[in-house]
Amino acid sequence: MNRYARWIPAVAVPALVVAGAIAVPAVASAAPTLPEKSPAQVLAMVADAKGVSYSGTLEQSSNLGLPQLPASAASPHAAASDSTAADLLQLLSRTNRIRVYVDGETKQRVQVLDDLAERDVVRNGSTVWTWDSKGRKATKVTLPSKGAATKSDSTVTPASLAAKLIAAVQPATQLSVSSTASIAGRDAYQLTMTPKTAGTLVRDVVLSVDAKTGLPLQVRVDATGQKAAAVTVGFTAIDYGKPDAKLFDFSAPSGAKVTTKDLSQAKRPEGNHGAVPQGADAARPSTVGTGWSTIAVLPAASDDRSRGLQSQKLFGQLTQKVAGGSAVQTSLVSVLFADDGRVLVGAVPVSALQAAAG
Amino acid sequence: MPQLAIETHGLTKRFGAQLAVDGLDLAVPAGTVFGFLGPNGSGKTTTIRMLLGLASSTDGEIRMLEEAMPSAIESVLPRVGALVEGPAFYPFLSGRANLLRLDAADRRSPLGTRRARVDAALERVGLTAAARKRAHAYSLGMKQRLGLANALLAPRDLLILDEPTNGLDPQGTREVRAIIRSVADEGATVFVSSHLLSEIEQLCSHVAVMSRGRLVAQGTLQELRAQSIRRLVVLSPDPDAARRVLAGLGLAPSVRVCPDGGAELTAELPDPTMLAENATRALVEAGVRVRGIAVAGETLEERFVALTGEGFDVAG
Amino acid sequence: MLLASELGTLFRRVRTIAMLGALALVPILIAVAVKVTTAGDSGRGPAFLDQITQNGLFVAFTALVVSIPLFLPMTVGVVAGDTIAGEASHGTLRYLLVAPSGRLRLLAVKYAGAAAFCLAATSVVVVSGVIVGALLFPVRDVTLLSGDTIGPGDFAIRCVLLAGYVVLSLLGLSAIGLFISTLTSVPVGAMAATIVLSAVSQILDNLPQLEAIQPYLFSHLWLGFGDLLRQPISWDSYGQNALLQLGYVTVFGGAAVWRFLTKDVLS
Ligand SMILES: Nc1ncnc2c1ncn2[C@@H]1O[C@H](COP(=O)(O)OP(=O)(O)OP(=O)(O)O)[C@@H](O)[C@H]1O
Ligand SMILES: [Mg+2]
Repeated sequence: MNRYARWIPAVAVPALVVAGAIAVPAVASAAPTLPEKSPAQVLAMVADAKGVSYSGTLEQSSNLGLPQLPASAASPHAAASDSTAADLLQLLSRTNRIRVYVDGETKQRVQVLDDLAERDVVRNGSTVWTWDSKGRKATKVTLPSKGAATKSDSTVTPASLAAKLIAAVQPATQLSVSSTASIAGRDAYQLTMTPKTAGTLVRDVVLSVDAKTGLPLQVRVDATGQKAAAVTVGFTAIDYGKPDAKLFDFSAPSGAKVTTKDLSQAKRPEGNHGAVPQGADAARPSTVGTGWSTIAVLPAASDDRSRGLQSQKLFGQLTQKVAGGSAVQTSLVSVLFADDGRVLVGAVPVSALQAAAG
Repeated sequence: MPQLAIETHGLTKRFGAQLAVDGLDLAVPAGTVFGFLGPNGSGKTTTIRMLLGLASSTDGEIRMLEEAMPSAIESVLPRVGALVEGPAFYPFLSGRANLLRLDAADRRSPLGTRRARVDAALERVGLTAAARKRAHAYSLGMKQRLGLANALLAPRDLLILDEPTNGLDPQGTREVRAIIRSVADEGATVFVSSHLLSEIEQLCSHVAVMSRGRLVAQGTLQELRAQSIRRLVVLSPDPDAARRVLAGLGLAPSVRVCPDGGAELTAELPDPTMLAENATRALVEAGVRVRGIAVAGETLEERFVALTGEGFDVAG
Repeated sequence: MLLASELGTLFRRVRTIAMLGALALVPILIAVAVKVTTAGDSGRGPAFLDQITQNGLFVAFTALVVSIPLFLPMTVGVVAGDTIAGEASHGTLRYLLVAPSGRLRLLAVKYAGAAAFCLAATSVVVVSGVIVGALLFPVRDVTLLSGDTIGPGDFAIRCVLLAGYVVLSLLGLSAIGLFISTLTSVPVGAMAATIVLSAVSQILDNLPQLEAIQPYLFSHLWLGFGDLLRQPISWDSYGQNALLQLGYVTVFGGAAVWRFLTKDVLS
């Protein structure tokens, strides 16, 4: 037997390599020590961070307690509208990889990396291209030349999400710089925003800010009912070099279906972030409540649309019948499809939506 | 004491509850042709597998070519040619390609002489004509020869051959014997297992006998013959008187009365120093009439049957 | 030396040649099928299928996408499952060991042979795809997933990277096959077990309830080569896959070493 004993290293060495590979990153991400800063100082750093150039990879993951759907629900054979809904659901329920390339204020590129597919938004000055590899569809948008930098897409980067959060919630929110962390290999401050009200599903929002550049590196939203973060968007790798200029030099590939939109003369519609082009007949939403427990009430839309929605198979799988309508309850957000056609949305329990629906 | 090519002490192999080899103490002198004899299932192949490091031993020690096995396997095995439990080849390769591959498996075998050595080995076993045939088209005897060629790919100090004449025609059997003798003449030790006594008798100078996993005899063929029990047979018309005389010498004769009125007294001679002439003198001095007196030796075959306790063709 | 002999034995074997020939047929069948069906039925079938008519270079990609779930694991399973069990069933294992080949060396050579087959199998699909694509369809600049366009030269580089990715993906499976092969002297059993495991892994990868373990399945990143079709190339899945496969190679390679070094060769 002892002739085999000398081969023990052949087994032991790889085992150690694996153990090391697991242990080393765990050690490396220990919290750094940074000079103390107040929430205001950290926010100032964020505000200061405009015009940074960087490229990086983000990961977005959600843990909303949505029902799991088999992957086949998203297959190309499903009805078109059903698959769009499934797409959206996928975006919410699985980990998404996103790459961003930013060269100052005017050149940006965001890539959502799907399996064997990709969606891109490329901004170069006043020209914005969107590209969807699945349908080989491209859109060219020309922005108002002097307008302020318009966030052209709903794609979430820490910078945009952080700015929105800070502006919206400061009055109702307790801010503190709780601890430090290492995100994507960078030392970061962690700014914790805790709602002052108990009426919301949001426990807290933690914003991690690069201690050197002030760039938000990660946003994490925790829900009251669960330990795991409800939503996390953050860099897994970041490089503060100037990205290759060729990346912003996009034009539609041959054979693509190209749509052109010229907004250079058009006025920006007020109050609308331009993310979702809405039907002209869509009535304006109203709100109930304030701060974290605000509830948005969308009036009944043109009937065929909502009925179309409700007849989908997915709709039945996702919603539960409650008094006054059907509801979707996630750990962070609740949606109530009232029987009268209104849709109520808020970061509150369903019961609060039912109360608001009256 | 002569050098030993193979030496084992208390070699034991257990398969589950079954002891396939039980406390084997082999001593194979260098330069001999050593027969390893035993009925089917007596543990010959299992022993050879342990010698070659294919199977681990449950207990005991092995030394081969003066080195401890299996720790020195890398330096010992290149000097050992082996045929274990019949030949085995890639059926989809030609005989020659098979040998080239097996030779390549040994890191120390020189590439430069590989083709020449393979061709020489094929020639030696008479397979040159069939060298390019695929091995699956070989007859049993051709496969056996190819297996032998594999054992002879390089100059060896020790050949371990497990039933090398299995499946060979009489002509082939004679050729294999000739090959084994020629290898032995070159100074190599040959360790041949067989369940056929006749084969061992024709080939070997030394022999070990296995039975049910145990070694029951070991030595030169002469020693084994000498060990065999001799019987004194006395023909006499005075059986009672003859019996008294023989009993007085410490023998216990059995008496068989012959139809002619005389009797045949048969007694085992337990002591090899006990000479038949002593018995003759005692019988004559006692006035016993003797028609005939003889010492009958056991045949080797009877001896082996006595040792192994069964016929050679009975599975153990 | 033993490696050269192993490769010679493996690739001269009719079975191996037949499997490679079958793999070479995959892109040919795809290309011919697309060529003869005039009505472009876009939106269905595997990725890139609808792009073949515009650019023959996509034949190779489509063929790989089609081959990865079944054909490649099947052929690799046959070769990897046969490594030790096949020698044992022929009885040649004992003669290799007595030669002596050294147990660890034999195992390493056997694994290298299986890895070489992964490379050959993948290359056959890619090369056959490029050739038949160039013969039947126009060859143009290639549009990447990111919408950027690259020339055929750059695309060739990406094809090589892609082949490398697929080979990498199959290394874990090969190690599993090698390990199973040391457990038995019935090669068909080892082959079947390996192929079944590759199917099971892919099925588990599609069950949402098992999301927690999916990143650790050896097939989890098999289709992750889309990252090579981005501009710039994303090396994330390459790196992750390398780590994942390395983990499988270490664990199952280690298990195979442990098993084979202590095994009684009784066949
Ligand atoms: N793999 C195994 N598992 C269990 N028992 C085994 C195994 N191999 C051999 N044995 C047992 O060990 C004993 C010795 O077998 P072995 O093959 O050594 O006999 P042998 O002397 O070579 O016989 P033969 O003359 O038939 O070749 C037999 O009783 C056999 O049943
Ligand atoms: Mg035997």
